[in-house]
Amino acid sequence: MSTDLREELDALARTQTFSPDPSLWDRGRRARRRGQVLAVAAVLAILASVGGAAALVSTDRELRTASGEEVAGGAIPSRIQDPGELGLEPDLAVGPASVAFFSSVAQPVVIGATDGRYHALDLPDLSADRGPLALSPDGLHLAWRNRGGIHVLDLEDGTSSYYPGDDEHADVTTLEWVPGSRRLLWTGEDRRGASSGGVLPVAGQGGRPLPTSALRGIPSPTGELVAVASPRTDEDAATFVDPGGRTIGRVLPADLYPEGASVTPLGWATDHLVVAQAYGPPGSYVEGQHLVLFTSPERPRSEWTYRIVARDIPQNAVPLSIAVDLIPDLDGTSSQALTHDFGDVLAPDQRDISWIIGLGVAAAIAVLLGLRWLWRRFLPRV
Amino acid sequence: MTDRSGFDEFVHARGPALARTAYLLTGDHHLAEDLVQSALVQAAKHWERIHTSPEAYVRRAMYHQNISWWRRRKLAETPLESYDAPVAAADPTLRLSLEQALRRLTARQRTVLVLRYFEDLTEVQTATVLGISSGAVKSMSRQALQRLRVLAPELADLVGADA
Repeated sequence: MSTDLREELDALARTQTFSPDPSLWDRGRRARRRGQVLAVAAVLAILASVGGAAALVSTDRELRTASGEEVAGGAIPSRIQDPGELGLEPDLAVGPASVAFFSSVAQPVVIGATDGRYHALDLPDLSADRGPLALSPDGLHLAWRNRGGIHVLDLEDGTSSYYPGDDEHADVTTLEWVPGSRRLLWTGEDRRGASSGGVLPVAGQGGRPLPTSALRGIPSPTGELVAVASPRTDEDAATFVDPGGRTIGRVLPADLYPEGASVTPLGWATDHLVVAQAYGPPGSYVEGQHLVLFTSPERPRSEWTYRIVARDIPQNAVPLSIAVDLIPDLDGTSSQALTHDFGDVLAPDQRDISWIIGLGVAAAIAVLLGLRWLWRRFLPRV
Repeated sequence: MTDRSGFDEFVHARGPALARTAYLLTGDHHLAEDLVQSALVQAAKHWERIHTSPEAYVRRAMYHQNISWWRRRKLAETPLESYDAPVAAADPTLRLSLEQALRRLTARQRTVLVLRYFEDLTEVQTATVLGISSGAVKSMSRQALQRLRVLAPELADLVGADA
């Protein structure tokens, strides 16, 4: 059977003619070059994907600035984000901080002064209403209160001091640091429910005597003025009080705030420069919450300056507490950077990366499907 | 001898034989021409990497390529209900009956048949070339011959009564 079938098949096959195509070799070489280009492109795509994914989900937890180095002495970050929910850190010795605030999930957050890293601190005895969170001008101490008790944390060694409530401060409402970071001003109510206020010497006695008006806001290093909050946006001035109790307005730039702005002082960067959190209503040059620096009104107008320090700050954290000593001395140029870009400092473990992983997996599947299609399309199985 | 001259010499020497196998695999002169040209382009593409037998490479390419093409065409093939019906003997010659019957086989069946009874490969060699088991080769070979008998009863003597 086999012999007959082979003969018949051979006879059948001989009906086929063959005329070689002279372009076979060239077509094959072109296909080879095309395959090499595709292979190189695929390798580059995979390398880019792997590199991008590695950059996104890097497990390097040692935070670096955008330039790759830490900032000696510390700096205010150019962008202050609401980090969402972070893991609470029980070790409170996180080092000097530049910013402190309660996040949108009511966690006390400080930003490292030298590395820009966000820390959610597991502070003891926090009140339910959270209340004020006051970072000292040098960024080394953090104060908070619960009813009449006041806590002061040393951020360098993690130790804290507690000043229990007494007849004078049965309930504390505000906490403000005096320039120099050695004294804390508090206001509140005494045991009888009457308004009260005073000075808490955190680092020993001493320092310039403060007028009673100091309790209305933040006294300047010279004691000449007290910067107070001006919550009304229809006023065109930041508000100060002199030792005699008289109110002095400091006109805000009308071109920046045609409808006025509210200004909440955060501290004094120098004897005559105030750091404040301003709120620009719609139509302002900078709308919403932002940080500003401006000259106090006792200086001649020719010396006045008004600088936007940071535009991107949490809109729900009112107000921030800033280590104002980290603001550099002005060099007289408008291009001087007053803050530092720490880059994307929210570490992977501090950021919700599930969507990144999902997108990465989807992209990898898409790449593999694409490569499979190309393989089947251009490189038939042999 | 350069790569190109070596390739041209190979095509000139072995092209006709490859074309004959291609025709048996496809059952169509034009498809056979396309099949052998496609396999030769593949050989040109990887010519530097073919260190053993170029002909074996091209033949293997044809076998797999033909099955791949058949998979793409199978939806357009003859409806299944008339698939096993005896072929009308329009042409009295045996060759045409065999040719028609071969076209009614699946690509895998036809390929196994060609490798076993035209290329004279053993079951093991056929299995190796196609990347399937020897048992599958044996099974497909038996099914192919049985189908030939059903499709063209006049071929019974040719393919054996109980092959």
